[in-house]
Amino acid sequence: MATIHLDRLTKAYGALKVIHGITLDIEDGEFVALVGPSGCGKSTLLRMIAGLEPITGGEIAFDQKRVNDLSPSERGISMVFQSYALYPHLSVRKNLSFGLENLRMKRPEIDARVQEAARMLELEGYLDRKPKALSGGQRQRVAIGRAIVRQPKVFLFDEPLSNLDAKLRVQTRGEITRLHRQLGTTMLYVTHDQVEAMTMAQKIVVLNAGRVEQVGTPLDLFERPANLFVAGFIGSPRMNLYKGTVAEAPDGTRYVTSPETGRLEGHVVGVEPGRDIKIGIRPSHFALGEGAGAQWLDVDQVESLGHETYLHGRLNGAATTTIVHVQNHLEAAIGDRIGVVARAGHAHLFDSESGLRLGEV
Amino acid sequence: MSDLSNDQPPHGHTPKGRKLSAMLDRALEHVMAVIEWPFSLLQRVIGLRRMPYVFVLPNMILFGVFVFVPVLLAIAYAFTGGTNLLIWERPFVGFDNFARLLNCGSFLDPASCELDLFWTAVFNTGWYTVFNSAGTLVVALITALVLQRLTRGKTFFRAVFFYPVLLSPVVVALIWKWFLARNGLLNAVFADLMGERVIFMLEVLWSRFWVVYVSIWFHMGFYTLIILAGLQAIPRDIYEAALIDGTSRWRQFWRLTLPLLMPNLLVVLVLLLIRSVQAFDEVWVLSDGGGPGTANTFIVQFIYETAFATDVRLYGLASAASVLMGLGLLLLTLFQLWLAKKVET
Repeated sequence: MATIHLDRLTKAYGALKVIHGITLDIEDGEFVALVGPSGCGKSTLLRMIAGLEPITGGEIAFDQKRVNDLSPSERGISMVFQSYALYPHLSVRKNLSFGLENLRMKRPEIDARVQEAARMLELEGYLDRKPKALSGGQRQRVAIGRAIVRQPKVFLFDEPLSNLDAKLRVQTRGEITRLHRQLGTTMLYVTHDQVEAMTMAQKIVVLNAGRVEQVGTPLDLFERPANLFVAGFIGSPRMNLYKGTVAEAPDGTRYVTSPETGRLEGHVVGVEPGRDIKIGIRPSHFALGEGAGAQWLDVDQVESLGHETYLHGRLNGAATTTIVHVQNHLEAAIGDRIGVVARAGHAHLFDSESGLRLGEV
Repeated sequence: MSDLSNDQPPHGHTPKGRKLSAMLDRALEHVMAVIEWPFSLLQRVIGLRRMPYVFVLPNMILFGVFVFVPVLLAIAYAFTGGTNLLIWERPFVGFDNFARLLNCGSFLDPASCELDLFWTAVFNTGWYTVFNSAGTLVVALITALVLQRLTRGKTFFRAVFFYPVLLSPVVVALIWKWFLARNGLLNAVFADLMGERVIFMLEVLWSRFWVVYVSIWFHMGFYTLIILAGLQAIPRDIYEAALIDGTSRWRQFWRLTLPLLMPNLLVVLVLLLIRSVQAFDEVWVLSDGGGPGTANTFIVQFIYETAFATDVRLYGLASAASVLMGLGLLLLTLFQLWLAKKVET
């Protein structure tokens, strides 16, 4: 178990900079997800921490000890690859014991660890099979097993669930979080899937174009996204965004307004009237209602999942598409006009130019 | 037929490519128009089920004339005697030729055999096969491993090692003969260093060494390429996993690279063994006809000389030797197939 400290870490391929000075602290035993779109540098960052990718600048420390120049095995990490990277010609048992044999560990100790890992991952019946004879989910468990037996200080996962089907992905997600509870080891988990990050991690690091956009708990990111990128990336379906302005009432109170949302009253601090902003409202933060402050949604598309309903449409005849999440089944048809109300305190305001969060109303 | 080609839109990515493919389509239509009627006539006569055989017939004829018939002829000749070329003028002698070839006091001592030259050739071919196969395999493997690791000039060096393969065996042998000659380049160096010249191809051990050396130099590029292809097919992340597992370079090679490369190595070994047993041309030229003495006389040379290069042309004896060599290769191949299956499981 270890804490990880990244200090102004950079990576460049020739003139091309891909990681732009990342500073990050990971607590001992924490489960941290690195999430971001394809090509944001999350896998590169993980591979730098693993020692598979040379570091251009900055420092990586495990437990306050600089590890920049240590080989992957000396860093005491284990890694689970997206492709599993199992040794194809070796049995499951040999795959699990291969790394331990490198350490010249005693045979009984190796056998004990392999048995223990196989028991935890329900692989006991498959120990003498080759990877070829296993299903995708079983191979994934072998890859995790190979990481466990080394009893590493840090687990690194590089999109480990990408090659699994949807059902297996949900199941394995649960298994990995259970594993984290059991072992209590620091885990670093790279994914492009924000649902994985939200459901598994204690702390999420959102990366974009080689920079950290925001670090926080899943709920932090959901409720207080630091900027437009995080607002758009976290949450599914994504947050509705509208162009709006800040206005001032004759009595001096400020409010925000946009064609889609109408007038949203609230405590708008530090933003001068007349300023262009972006208003973000999550699909789940609309309520059905036709009373005061209601806006009208012209329904273009209805997605009914039985226990919940997503309405796609346009608010007040505006061009931007709005998605509204309804908690239960709603009998709606294309072309219907439905009244919706934005929940107070759940409209996020962002600066149009910098994209930074201004507050909420 | 002409309708068929019209159904398929031409597949060209660029307008130019599309135009070319349309032109080819039209040309094909004309060809089809000319050759269609004999085929449809034929199909009406022999039926659709027999048509596939018509299409493979040209190749089967070539294969038959140049492979099957000669094999059968050689077997037939092996049971005949005399010096006549035409088979119907040759007397049937049963297993006489084989008996002569196998007539030995001890199979371990060529001198005790009736045809001591044949057995000398068998032993010569034997050691050549062992040293040439092992040598080429090891050198090609090492070269491939080094090439795989190169970050720069990979293509260049791959080409450098492959170029000798493109040369004619006789050319290769002549180049090396010149290089190894009494007044050759190598002797110039030798003379400077040791004060005396070595006439390499006149000393038994030296000549055998150079025969194997030249053969390795000549053919290794081809095998390097096969091994390199195998190396490139091993996923990189396996090595990353091994790195994280703390695997030493040495163990990486023995426990990961070598087993994963085994199918390719086996192919290389099969080709090497067969080609070594068949070796003739470059060795014959390099060693001036198998010399010194009979130190580099191989089976194929014995067959060639028995049948074509002596005053009394013993086609039957030569054919019998060919059949024996063929049987030997067959056994070798069966053994390798068995080995390949074993490696797979």
